[in-house]
Amino acid sequence: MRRFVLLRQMLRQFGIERERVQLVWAAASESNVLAEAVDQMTEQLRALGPLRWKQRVLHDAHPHIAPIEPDVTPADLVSAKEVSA
Amino acid sequence: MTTTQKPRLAIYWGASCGGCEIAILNIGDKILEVDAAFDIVFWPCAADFKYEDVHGYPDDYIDLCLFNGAIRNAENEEMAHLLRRKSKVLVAFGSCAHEGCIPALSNLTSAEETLRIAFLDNPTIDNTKGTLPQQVTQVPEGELRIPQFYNTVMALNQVTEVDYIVPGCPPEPPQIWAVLEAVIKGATLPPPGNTILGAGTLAVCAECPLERHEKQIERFYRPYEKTPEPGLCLLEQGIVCLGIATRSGCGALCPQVNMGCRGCYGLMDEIDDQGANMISSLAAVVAAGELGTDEDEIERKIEAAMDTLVDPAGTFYRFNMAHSLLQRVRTGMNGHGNGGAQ
Repeated sequence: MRRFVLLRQMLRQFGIERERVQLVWAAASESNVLAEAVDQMTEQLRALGPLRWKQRVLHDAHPHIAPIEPDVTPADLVSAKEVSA
Repeated sequence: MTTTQKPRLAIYWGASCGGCEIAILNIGDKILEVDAAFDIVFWPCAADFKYEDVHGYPDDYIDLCLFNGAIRNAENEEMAHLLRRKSKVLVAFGSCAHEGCIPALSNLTSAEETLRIAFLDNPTIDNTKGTLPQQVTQVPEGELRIPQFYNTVMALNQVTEVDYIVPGCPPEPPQIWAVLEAVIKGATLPPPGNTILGAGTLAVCAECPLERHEKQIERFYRPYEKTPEPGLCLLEQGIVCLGIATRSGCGALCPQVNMGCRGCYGLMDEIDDQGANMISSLAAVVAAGELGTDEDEIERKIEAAMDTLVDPAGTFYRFNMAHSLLQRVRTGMNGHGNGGAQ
């Protein structure tokens, strides 16, 4: 929780939307809470679209610049999970 | 200059403050040994050399090149490539060349914003005509050009290959001398390739004499807000100190004079991101409340504590922004323009 609060504050400074990083507590018996949270986050991320930091933010950086790997966004991960599920 | 077989030394600066050059002079009378041991073939800060001199040297002519300063504009980058070609050993000397340092804090905004603050919107500036630097200017004598101002500040090894890195803002003189002495005496250096020289491998805390007692804090204090208890860990008193996430080698000079470590020796081996490392470390000292406290109450308390930490990104990446995982902010999200050089 402490790390998360601080991380969220810092990511805001980097221009990363609050919805992209969320912390939700769901007990083992609260499967509906978890499912709802995942559904909600998936929709929010789909609306935001991929972050694509390397292309969109570091676009003017020199080609020598070390690439950020892997070039996958949380939205990609969520949609990939859905497809595989 | 003599015509003996002495090794040739070059010292150059990119985007830097000049502190690294002063740090070199702070090795004291040993600077005479440096002069005796090397032929200085390029050091614009101290001797009258021109770009043409370097262009005229054969490739690998320079035995040791200490490059300080970040890559902020096209001139910095051009010189980085030129000196790489002309040098057998290229050293990223000091935090700017190593990891971006203070110049790379402008990666928290755009090039346009940086220029606006520097030239237009600043209480110490009287620029009534709103003059801004132009890359190309026509004058009666012809066309004047200045180097392109980059949107993103980079470290030296983000534009060219670097053999060794001497960290620090600036590197501490005893560490500088240890490195120069090793070169002068012909000691075998570790294999090149972004290899750290003149620093430790542990955290600054390992060199810090202040005592830790695993205390937790309710809030943070800026240095002017609190007089620290002598002899006790600053972080545990709520004064932000990056020692726990910063490479050792400086001798923990800042904490010993009640100034929290700023983080200038950069990240340690095996760490990917100094700021993330610092978030993890800092979180452990913030009190979360008693066991059994209501979750919302805990979150509220933590948020209140973290809100007292002004500018986390600028604090945790004060020196390491260029080498951080994100490297710069995304602009255009908060009305700050969208990044100049698109």
